[in-house]
Amino acid sequence: MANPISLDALLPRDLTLYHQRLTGTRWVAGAGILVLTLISTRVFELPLPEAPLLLLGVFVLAYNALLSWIGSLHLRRDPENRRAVARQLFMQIGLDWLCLILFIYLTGGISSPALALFFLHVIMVTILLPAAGAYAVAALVIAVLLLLGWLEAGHILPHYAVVPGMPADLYQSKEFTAARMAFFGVALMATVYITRSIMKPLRDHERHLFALFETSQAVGSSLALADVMAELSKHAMTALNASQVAIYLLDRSGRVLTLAGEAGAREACPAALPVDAVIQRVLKGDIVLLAREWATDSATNPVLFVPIIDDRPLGILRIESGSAQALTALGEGFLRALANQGAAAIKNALAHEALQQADKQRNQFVHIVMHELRAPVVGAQSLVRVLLGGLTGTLTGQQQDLIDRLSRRMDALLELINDLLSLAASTSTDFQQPLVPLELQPLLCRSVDIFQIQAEEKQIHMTCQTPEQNLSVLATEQGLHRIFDNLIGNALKYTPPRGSVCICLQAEAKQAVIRVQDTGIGIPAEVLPQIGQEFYRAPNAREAGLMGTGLGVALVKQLVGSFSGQLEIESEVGKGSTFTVRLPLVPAAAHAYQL
Amino acid sequence: MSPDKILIIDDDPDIALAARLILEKAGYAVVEARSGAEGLKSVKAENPSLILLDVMMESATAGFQTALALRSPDPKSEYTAYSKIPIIMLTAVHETMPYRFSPDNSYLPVDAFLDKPVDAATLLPAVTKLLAQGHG
Repeated sequence: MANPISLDALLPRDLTLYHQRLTGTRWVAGAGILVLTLISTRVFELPLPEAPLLLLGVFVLAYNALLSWIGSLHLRRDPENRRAVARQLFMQIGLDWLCLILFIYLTGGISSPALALFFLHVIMVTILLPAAGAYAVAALVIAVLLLLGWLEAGHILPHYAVVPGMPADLYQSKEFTAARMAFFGVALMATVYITRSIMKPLRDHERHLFALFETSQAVGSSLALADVMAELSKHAMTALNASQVAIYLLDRSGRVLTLAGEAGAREACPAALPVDAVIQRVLKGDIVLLAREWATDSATNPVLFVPIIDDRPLGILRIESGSAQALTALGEGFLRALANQGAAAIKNALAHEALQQADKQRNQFVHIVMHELRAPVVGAQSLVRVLLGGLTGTLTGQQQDLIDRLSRRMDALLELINDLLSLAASTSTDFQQPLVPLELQPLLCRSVDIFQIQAEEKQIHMTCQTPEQNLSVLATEQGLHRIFDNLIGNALKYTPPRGSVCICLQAEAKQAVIRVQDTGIGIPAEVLPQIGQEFYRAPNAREAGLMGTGLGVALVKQLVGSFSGQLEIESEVGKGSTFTVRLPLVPAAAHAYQL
Repeated sequence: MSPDKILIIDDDPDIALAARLILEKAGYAVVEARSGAEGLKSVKAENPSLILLDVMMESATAGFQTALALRSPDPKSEYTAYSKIPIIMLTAVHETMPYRFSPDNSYLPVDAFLDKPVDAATLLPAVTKLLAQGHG
């Protein structure tokens, strides 16, 4: 076989469970020896070697206690160390074996009625050890028993005759010994063989299930196609005990398979496989085994092709191993289950990639369009401002007025483009900047300062209240600028002259609360839920002739949401509106914000 | 003393015209170039006191590339003599674009950023300040 199966793969996954079972059984065995010995000698007055047997019983109980204590220590200190538990088990098996031999000896050696107890032992051993080990133990039992018989017959060891009524010198009869050991030996070996043939498929299934579980976990942990392929190949190789595993995916044309992932390669797998007759069969759903060298494939080892099919063929799994038997031994069910996991993961990864591509393309498009829209407006504005600045001569009153209007229309257009771009950018992952702790006071005061002149021009009384202690939130600087600028700008825009705008920042519970309250035109109750929809403008805003894009609140809403906050709007027509932004507080910023 | 010469490198003729009108009114001499390549040639030919540089011209990064060429740390660069000329970068790039750089970035060798549209109120003070630094 190309890969020796590791010891770990053979030992049952639940070693501790077996450990406990054996320990429990041993208590019973040890106590049983003691009790039965006492009953036999005191009650039935059988000629048993009482003292040695009692000693044996005590010894069994003693080492059982010792080993289970050591075992529980290991378990508490290092539960994952299966090697330690395995060592423990082997020690126990060894000691059990020794005690059994002693027991047999003390109850008559070859002629002991307790010989059958060895079957129990051997079944347990076959479950726990690899095939070679189990047969070895069985052989050792037979060998030692024969040795025992020979030692007793040769009077080197005293014989214990325990069953009255049995001929005392039976043990010396070579025919008896031969007959007994022959049948016993055959039965013992057969027990190992039968138990093995039951255990092996069980063990394989156990391994397969575990492999499928591990693969599904590993493969589900990432959406990047390259990662998924690497994990799938790696786990498939361990699960299948193959020498090499490669995953090929069908390209767009459907005529070529390109290498997407590989594991265990000593020499590189071919980078591409043409879809020939064999591959076509595979892609239709057959599992194909190529036992010899094939023209399209430079493999000299047997190769197995497994289709990876979702609702359409996605690719193939190529498994190489040292022997064809190893490949055929892999159950078809298991191979298909493995391939299906791969299919699901691949489909997800491809969909994710497509989504990212689409997103990227959209962002590039938005970027280009916005730039193309901005450039002419910006150029025109620059010229208009030169005109307004009187740099080309004095303007008449009417000329000034008309050019003013031109300028304002272009300002509005530019603002619309900027808002649209902000909206588009804030939903795209490309442009999202990391959230950092920021102090609110400096940012809020800066926005207030920007609008100071505008407020004075309009004779609006604008106040700003901030608390003493610094309040910090997780946000982006530009995001907070946008929020404050939009809210304060709106408040000023929709408040008639000699009104007032009050901006207030305070901490409430674990939140920073920013309130922008104005004595403006207000928002009618029936349309209040629609404020914040893109391009929506309340009817009274339109009637008042006030220009707006209808994007400001939508943008604020989105930004506040991305900072895990909430936006609340209260309003009464003719009285004013209050926009409240709540953001979760974080402990003070690690660095002072620098303006 | 002859007036300070300002070189405007911008592919948009309207922006260039607006800037020229503002600067000439303020008493500066103005020369124009329509691309990064043309601009580099003009720097050598005219040896201006200040450069107004647009970000996006023949390519999205033409402005930066021009600035990098002018300020190249390589002592054998052909622009070493001109590496001290103050550069104002004119940007229309939206703040959320990833190309936005702040003057803090040490590898972007410009002295100031100004957002378009061109405005006398912001352009003239920036120019005066940088020229004063140069002369002083």
